Amino acid sequence: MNTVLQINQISKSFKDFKAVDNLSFKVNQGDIFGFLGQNGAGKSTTIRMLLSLIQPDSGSIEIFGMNLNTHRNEIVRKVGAVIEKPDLYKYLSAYDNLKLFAKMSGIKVSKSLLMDQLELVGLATRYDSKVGTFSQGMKQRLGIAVALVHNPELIVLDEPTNGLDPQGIADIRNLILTLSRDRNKTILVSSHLLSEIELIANRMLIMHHGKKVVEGDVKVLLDPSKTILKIETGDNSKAFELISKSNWTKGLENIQNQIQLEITKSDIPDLVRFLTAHQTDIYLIQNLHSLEDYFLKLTNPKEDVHAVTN
Amino acid sequence: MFTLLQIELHKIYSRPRTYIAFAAITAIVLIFQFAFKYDGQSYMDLMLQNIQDNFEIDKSKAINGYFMCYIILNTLLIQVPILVALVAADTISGEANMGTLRLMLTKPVSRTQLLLVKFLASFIFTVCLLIWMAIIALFLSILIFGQEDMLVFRVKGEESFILQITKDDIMWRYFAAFGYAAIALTVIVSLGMLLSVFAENSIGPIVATVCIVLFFTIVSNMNIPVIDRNVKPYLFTSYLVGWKGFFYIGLDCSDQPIKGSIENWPAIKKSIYILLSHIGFFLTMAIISFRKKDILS
Repeated sequence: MNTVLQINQISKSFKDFKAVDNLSFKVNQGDIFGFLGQNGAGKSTTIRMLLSLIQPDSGSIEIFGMNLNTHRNEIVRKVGAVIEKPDLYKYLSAYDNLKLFAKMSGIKVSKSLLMDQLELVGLATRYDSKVGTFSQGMKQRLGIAVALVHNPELIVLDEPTNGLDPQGIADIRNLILTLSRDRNKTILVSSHLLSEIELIANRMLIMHHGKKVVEGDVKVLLDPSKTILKIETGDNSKAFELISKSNWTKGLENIQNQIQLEITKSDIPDLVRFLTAHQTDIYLIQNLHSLEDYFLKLTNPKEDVHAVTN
Repeated sequence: MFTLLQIELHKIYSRPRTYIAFAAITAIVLIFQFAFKYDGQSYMDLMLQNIQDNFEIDKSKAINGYFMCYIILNTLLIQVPILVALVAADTISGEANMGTLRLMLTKPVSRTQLLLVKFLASFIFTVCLLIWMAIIALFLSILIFGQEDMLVFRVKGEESFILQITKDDIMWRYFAAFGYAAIALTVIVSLGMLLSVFAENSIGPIVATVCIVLFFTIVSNMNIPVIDRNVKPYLFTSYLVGWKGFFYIGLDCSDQPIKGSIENWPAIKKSIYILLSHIGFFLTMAIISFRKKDILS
């Protein structure tokens, strides 16, 4: 599977505040990649970095196999984005806004192309209305039309359902699914609602305080028989090497001095026995048995985690 | 680049606030023309009270289209920088405030390109404003008051005197003066843009630009020797009124005006270079700052 977006250890600070801390992840072609985290987790900063609105302090971003720093214009030609609420020119009509940004994208603009885009987002009948008269949901849909007008391969949607009513949320959700299914677009969509991501994404990542907490297939992460396990040991390098030679290698990663892997629940005791048999002290073992529980736990940091030592 | 420029101009001219400047100029000019049409003679009496003893003037011809335009420009070219600042200082910060800046910067357009296009669009707006001024302050005044030789009142040191320019020697001076004014106002455009880069809303850079222009203009008009020597040469506002130099006609040894001449062309040329270097400096600083800016709006 082709990697469309690869983020390698990026960090960004604003004065003393570390907004994104050593973040790495990748998005494959055709994915609807859910980017989940509370408000202030670092999602929007990350999205702004991958759209080159913000320069990372360290790390690199590759999109379509090209470095964003050196091939920015080539890359953004193939990327469409809606960042938070899509603010457009209120004194221009929907059609004029779309035309203006389509021209900026460097494509050949025709009336039929623009009307098709407005049709796709359900605004064709209001094409001549000033954006200042639009509701939040209509602006959001027009923002998506602006993001799609140049037929991008990667679509980045930052909290696209913010401020929408239930019908608006459902419309955006259906649009995302249509774009993925019928037009084979790769979509990165951020949200602070797990339920939202769960309904549309096939892969997801959770961020908290600027750090990656977990990344994987939504089905796996939300499968009640499987779990994501986090382990902290006396010697993480040794433990990582041991596990990588075992049968429990799926999703195995060493994230910020914690080993993370996907495992069937019934295998957890065997894994613990395996590590202790190899003289590895286990200081912490955290079973993310329900992603929703875990996500809620993140919002309440006083919640304890289970610790097992030998 | 041309498409981007078209887009920027479309945005500028789609906004009602753009026309405030044109409306303000029109109103001021019409008031001047009305006042001079019905009571211009009183103004002339006031201006000539110290001079007419030794200078014979036909007052009925003194108030003519050329003279009116000169009077109007003297007044307006102090206010016009404020009107230009309203548009120029809004270029980046206004987009940041609306939230459209981040959307624009996700398009395949470099920041340098975007800033240059916005600068060019503001420059074109300034030129349009000047053309409109020329139409109503010069051509409309000529229609209302007719064409005659033009009198220029001049104060040089302790001395006040009048220069007379023949009517066939005036029009080119106006074209040159409007050209000079375009360069002078472009300094305000570039300053406004520089301040605009640092702000997330329009009010701050507009007020800051206007304050800088007003403060520097006040200092530029102080007639204190120490400021004349040490401060004024470094203030761009000292050169904004350099357009008047085109109306200071050269005199021969018997103090007769030399047709087609300018008294001090090297001084005008120096002012133009200084203004252009200010434009270059402000614009370069704006580009450097904008390229490094994190778009957080």
